[in-house]
Amino acid sequence: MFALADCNSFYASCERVFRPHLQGKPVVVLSNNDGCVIARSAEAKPFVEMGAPYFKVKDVLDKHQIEAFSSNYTLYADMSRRVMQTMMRYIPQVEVYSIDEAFLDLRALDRDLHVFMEELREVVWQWTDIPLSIGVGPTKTLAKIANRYAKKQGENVWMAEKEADIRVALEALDVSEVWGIGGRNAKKLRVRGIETAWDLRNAPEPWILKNFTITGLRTVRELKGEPCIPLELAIPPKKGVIVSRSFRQPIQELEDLKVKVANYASVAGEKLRKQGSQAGMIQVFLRTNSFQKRDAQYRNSHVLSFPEATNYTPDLVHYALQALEAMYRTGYRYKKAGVMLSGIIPAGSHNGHLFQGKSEKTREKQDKVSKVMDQLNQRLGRKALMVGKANFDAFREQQSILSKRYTTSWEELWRIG
Amino acid sequence: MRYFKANLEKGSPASSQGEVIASGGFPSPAQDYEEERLDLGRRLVKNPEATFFAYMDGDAMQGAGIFEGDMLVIDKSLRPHSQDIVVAVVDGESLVRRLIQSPNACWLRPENPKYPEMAIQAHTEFRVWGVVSSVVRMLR
Repeated sequence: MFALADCNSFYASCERVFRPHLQGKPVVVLSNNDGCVIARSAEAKPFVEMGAPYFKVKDVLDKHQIEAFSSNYTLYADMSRRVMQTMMRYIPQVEVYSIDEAFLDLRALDRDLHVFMEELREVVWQWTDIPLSIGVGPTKTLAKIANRYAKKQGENVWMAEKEADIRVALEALDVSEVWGIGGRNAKKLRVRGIETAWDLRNAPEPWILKNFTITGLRTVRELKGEPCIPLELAIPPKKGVIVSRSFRQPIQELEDLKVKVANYASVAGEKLRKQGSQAGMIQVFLRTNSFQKRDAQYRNSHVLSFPEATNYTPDLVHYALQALEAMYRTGYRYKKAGVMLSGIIPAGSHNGHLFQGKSEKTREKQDKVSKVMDQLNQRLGRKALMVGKANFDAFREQQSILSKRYTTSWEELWRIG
Repeated sequence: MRYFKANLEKGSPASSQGEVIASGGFPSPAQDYEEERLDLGRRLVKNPEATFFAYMDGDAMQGAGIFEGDMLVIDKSLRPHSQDIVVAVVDGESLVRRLIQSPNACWLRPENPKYPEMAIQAHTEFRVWGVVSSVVRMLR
């Protein structure tokens, strides 16, 4: 059997860990820039839509005394790590599927799984204050469905084990909600009268294979209880680092864009160093707001290869600004920009030109500078220290209700009496 | 023989003690007797997943030697026993107090006569958030 363990309203739950008085009270979390609602606790769900713009629901939040928070990804990342590692203590095979979900392989366990999952949930709650819902089934696809069903029924743990139970859950699930199906496939399926997960399970396999390839067939077999999708335990190699943001107000001037892009390059550099890698190229992209039909539209991106792989922020900022200048056009109201680093290799592997490359000494010095920057930013709060252009207030986005970094900064620990 | 400086920077894993590599010459006679250096972090944090740090706010526990600004190491995986100092949540308020349990009653006791003792009634919303397992005070 497999399980899918999913943290309930994860971001909202994280905000409650050091604010225990909010247990049982409605909480929402906002996107970057406090733009819109991206997470809601169960208590807040009846009052606020997912994705609702903050400024539009402010009154509703006040009226129902719903607490709102800016997104504190530093805290969420650490709480996620704690939850996952707690589960790994008890379950030998854990696939971290997302920040708040993990697949567990329960096949080697010789125990009453329902009882065991209840215990696991209890331990995670006791250790981290994060509540879990757990769905159990003979395949990953069924475990995911069982998890959804658990949430819908308000159960902590739900077992898709008996044939009759599986049928109930599958009949209640729209085919578009099956893991790996999605909206477009669902449309094609509906034409053939396949509306629910149960219909999909009973669809003729040759037809599925012909129209939805082996991936579709695998899903159908998984729905029948035949494991086809193994646990992915190895962390895939980092493909690239992307940092991009939408601006609160449209930006027109090159100088202002430079500040933004330099900031994004700095943050990307920090990410790169954190994962111990360097990048071989940078792509900067820029676009106007395509929803503003009356505005002139422009979007472009520009790629530059580095002479040698680097993770040194001043280098990254330098190339990012060069790319930006190459494609910037005046007269547009820009809405979004971003920086993507790719050609990722482990730090320390030098693939640069033998003679033109930086000397070992320069390299060491640069590594030291980067390290000091990262440490200062760690201590003083992110974005305290930036390179040249980046050294502006612009990145201090609108995050008016940001909670503290309770678990990663000595200066921001919880204070209790 | 080359010596590498011990890595004592902030945030480095506590186990990264300076490595001494003999690239020539004779191996150290102490080599077989090496043990890992004592690591205060690991001594104080038995269970990293369940351990959180906080600062003491106020003087409610000064009788127990916990003063304003002291750092509390809170291990949420420990089962609370009577006489433990705990972080408790009482009707939504978070408190650092001594937990006193008897067969049919439960109190939260401050260690300062200025504060009242608190009996946990049947209707009180109460839970132990975590057990304070140690207190750290930095002198300079």
